[in-house]
Amino acid sequence: MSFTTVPTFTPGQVISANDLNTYLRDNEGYLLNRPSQIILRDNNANYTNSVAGAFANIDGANLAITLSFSGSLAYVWFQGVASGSGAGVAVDFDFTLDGNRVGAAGINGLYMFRSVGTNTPSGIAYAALIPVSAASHTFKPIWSPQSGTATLYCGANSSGTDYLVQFGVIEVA
Amino acid sequence: MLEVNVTISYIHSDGLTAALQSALGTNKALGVSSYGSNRPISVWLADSASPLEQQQAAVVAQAHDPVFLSVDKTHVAANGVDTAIVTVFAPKPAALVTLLIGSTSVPVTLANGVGSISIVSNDPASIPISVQNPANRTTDTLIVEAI
Repeated sequence: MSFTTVPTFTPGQVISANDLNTYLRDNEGYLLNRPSQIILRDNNANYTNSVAGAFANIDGANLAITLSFSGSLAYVWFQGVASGSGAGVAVDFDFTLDGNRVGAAGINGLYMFRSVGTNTPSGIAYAALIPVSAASHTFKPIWSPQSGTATLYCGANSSGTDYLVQFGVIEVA
Repeated sequence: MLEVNVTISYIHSDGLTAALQSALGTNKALGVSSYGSNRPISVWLADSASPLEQQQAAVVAQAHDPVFLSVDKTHVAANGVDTAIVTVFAPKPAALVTLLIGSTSVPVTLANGVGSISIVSNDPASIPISVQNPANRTTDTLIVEAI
C-alpha cells in the first residue's frame, strides 16, 4: 500500500466513501506502518575484508534491503561487533543507496572503527538519515579496512565472539 | 571493482591478500572478502584487471594454503620449565607446516590440520615464532617473551 497525496477539498464538495477509504483509512494505515525492514543476521560465520582503499559489500546477498518509498527520508542503521587484524587497524563504514555510496563526499565514508588490539572485538553502531525519492530503493552496508583485515562477527558459534549483526531501514518522512 | 569468486573453505585474509598483491601488484589486487566456509570468497581487483589477471588471481586463491598460529600465553618464566603452547591450524588437506622458532626450523606434526609445539627457555629472550616459507599461507608472527 502506498501513500496517496490528499487533494485540497472545496466547500460543498461531496466526500465519497472512496475518498474516505483512500485519504483517511489507507493513508493512516500507511503512516502507521511505513516501509521498513530489519535484518538480524546470523551468518554462522564471521565476515572478513582486506580491501583497503575501496569499499566492498559486507554481504551483498544477505545484508541488503529494498523498499518502495512514498516519502522522502530513510533512517538507516547498522550495528555489530568488529575487530582488526592488528592493534590500531581502522575500518571505514558506509552505506550504499542503489549502488552509490552515501558518504561518497568523504574518502572514508560515514563511520570509522578502530581495533583496540589484535582481533580484539568491540562494538560498532552507525546510522544515517538519507533523502530518497518516492520509488524503490536498495540499501547495503559496506566497509573497508585502512590496512590489514577487518572481521565482523556474525554468529560463528565461538563463545566470546558469537555476536549477531542488525541492519535496518525505515521510512521516517 | 571487479569481483572474482573462488570457492575455498578457509582463508588467512592477510596472507592471501599479500600473495595476490605480490602476483598482480597492489594497484590491481585490492583485497579479499569472506562470508563463511560454505560460500565462495570474493577477490577484489581493480577495474583495469585484464581477464588474464582475473584468471591469475583465481589460481593464486586456489593455491592458498592457510596457516593460523595462536599461543596460550605470551610470557613465560625463563626457567626451562614454564611452557607456552603454540597451536598450528592448517586446514588444507595434506598441508605441511614447519615453524621458525627464532631461526631454527621445527616441523609440526598435524592431525586433522591441527598441531602444537611447546616453547620453553632457560634464559630471558624474545622468541619470534613464524611459518617457514609463508608466501600465500600466513603473515602471522607470534612473540613469546621469556622473562
